Amino acid sequence: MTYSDNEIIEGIRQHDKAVLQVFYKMHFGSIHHFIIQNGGDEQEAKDVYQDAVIVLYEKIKGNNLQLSSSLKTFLYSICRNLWLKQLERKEKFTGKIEEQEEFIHVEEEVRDWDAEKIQYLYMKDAMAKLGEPCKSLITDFYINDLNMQTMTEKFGYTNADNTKNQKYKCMNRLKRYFFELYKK
Amino acid sequence: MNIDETIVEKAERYIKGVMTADEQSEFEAKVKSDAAYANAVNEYLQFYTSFEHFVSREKLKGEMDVAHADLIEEKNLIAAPGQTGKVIKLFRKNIRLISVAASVAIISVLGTALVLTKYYGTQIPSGYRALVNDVAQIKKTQRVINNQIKSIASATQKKPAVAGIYSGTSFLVTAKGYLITSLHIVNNANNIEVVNDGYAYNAHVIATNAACDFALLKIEDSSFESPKSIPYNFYSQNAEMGQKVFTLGYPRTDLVYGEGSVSSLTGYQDDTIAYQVSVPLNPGNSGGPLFDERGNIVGVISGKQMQTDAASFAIKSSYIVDALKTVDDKDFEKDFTLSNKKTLSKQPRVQQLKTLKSYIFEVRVIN
Repeated sequence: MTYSDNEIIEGIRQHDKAVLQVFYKMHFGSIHHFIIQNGGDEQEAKDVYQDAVIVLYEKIKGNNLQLSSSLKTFLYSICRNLWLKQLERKEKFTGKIEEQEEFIHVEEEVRDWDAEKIQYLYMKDAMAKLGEPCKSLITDFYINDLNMQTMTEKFGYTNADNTKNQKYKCMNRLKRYFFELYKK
Repeated sequence: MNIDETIVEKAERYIKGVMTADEQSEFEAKVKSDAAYANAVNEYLQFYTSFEHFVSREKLKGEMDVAHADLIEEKNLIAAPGQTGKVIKLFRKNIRLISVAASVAIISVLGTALVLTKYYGTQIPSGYRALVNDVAQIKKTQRVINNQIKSIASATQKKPAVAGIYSGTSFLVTAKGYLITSLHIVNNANNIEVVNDGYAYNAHVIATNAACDFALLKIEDSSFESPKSIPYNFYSQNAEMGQKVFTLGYPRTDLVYGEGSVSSLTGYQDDTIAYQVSVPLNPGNSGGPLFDERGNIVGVISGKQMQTDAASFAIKSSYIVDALKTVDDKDFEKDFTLSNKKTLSKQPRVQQLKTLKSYIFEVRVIN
């Protein structure tokens, strides 16, 4: 099953999970090939590809996607850009790229990427530092969208208010850890 | 709950719009009258913005991981050895139980530090240094294990191209086998090879000038046949804005032609040593010549200043000529001339390129 670019953009805008799944599977192969050909491994291929999908996804959700090419070219160009930067950072730039296909200039699209990624990684680290039950509590509530009742049962609190209070305590702690990293 | 935790509660209820009218006006009044309270609320809101962004990415990553696991199953792609493979396997086992991936829970502090190292390479934000040092030993051990797994895997898998080979472009400046290239290509090189028309010759560095990313190479190979003369001139006068230019180089192992014009008289970050050119370039073009329409050298492509695909830059020929004039090598001084030949000036482009291609060499560096 395939979708046109417009169907994909509309699907992502409407948060249609099936469209995202199909879209993800459509393009991983060529990006995977590009990264492997240019000094990356499986994990790096996956990471770069997912980062590029995030860039596209956030552009669509934020209503500021200005597409001057096909989605495939756009995605490839983002991956190419992110990967070259990463090679440069690691000082592993071999000075040579095995091009897969045509690409467009996407500097503008990825301008804020690094700053946002650092914030994301700080948050991830703060989450890791939280420990249990806070980590699961926050993950279940905010990321897995479990409701208070389910969570109260799962974590064994006496009532939903206790769960809520516990969650506020955890969020306060997460905030502290986040700023400890962020303000350094 | 302490005061900070109350602020968390109030701020979240406020954001979600679930406060009662009384509660809201009381909250707003307190924010207005109590500066410390307002600060704390603001701080929380700042955190919460980052947090929401994080949540949205984690959700998306969860969905992508589901697709990825499917893909691996379908295409039977081999996951990377070591920890990575474990995470995927662990995840796939639970895939039916949890519809959305809670990858946060899987990845430990160690995992995050590794992600950071991978992402930022040597430039890890300062806050992370200590953490990374702590895990250095563990990483080392893991690398040994990974390498062992890889060496087993390599028996069945085809290896990608050999790492450690850097490449770029160079071009003859005298008939005796002196070549110009970019310093950053040949810096710290153990072994340099220049290739033209399938023939490789050994070369070494004669002179460098870091300010303009310049290196002079000399072919030291008995199999090299010197051409009679060099068909192009070196212009000590720089090109003008808007002037048409072209280049030949080796972004891949074949010679590639590119044309455009001088789009700015300054380079990366207003650097006056370089031009910005609208010629489509790739990193392998570094060290290649920039010609004007009559086939005179007006610059040298410098990939050092290329920020991936943002813009292309070339070092102005006046700086290259200055660098050439200060080279301290008797043979070179005898051989080098700016000259004023007209060999190429009236020829159509196709003819120019036919002549030029035997003077442009691919540089291969083995570190």
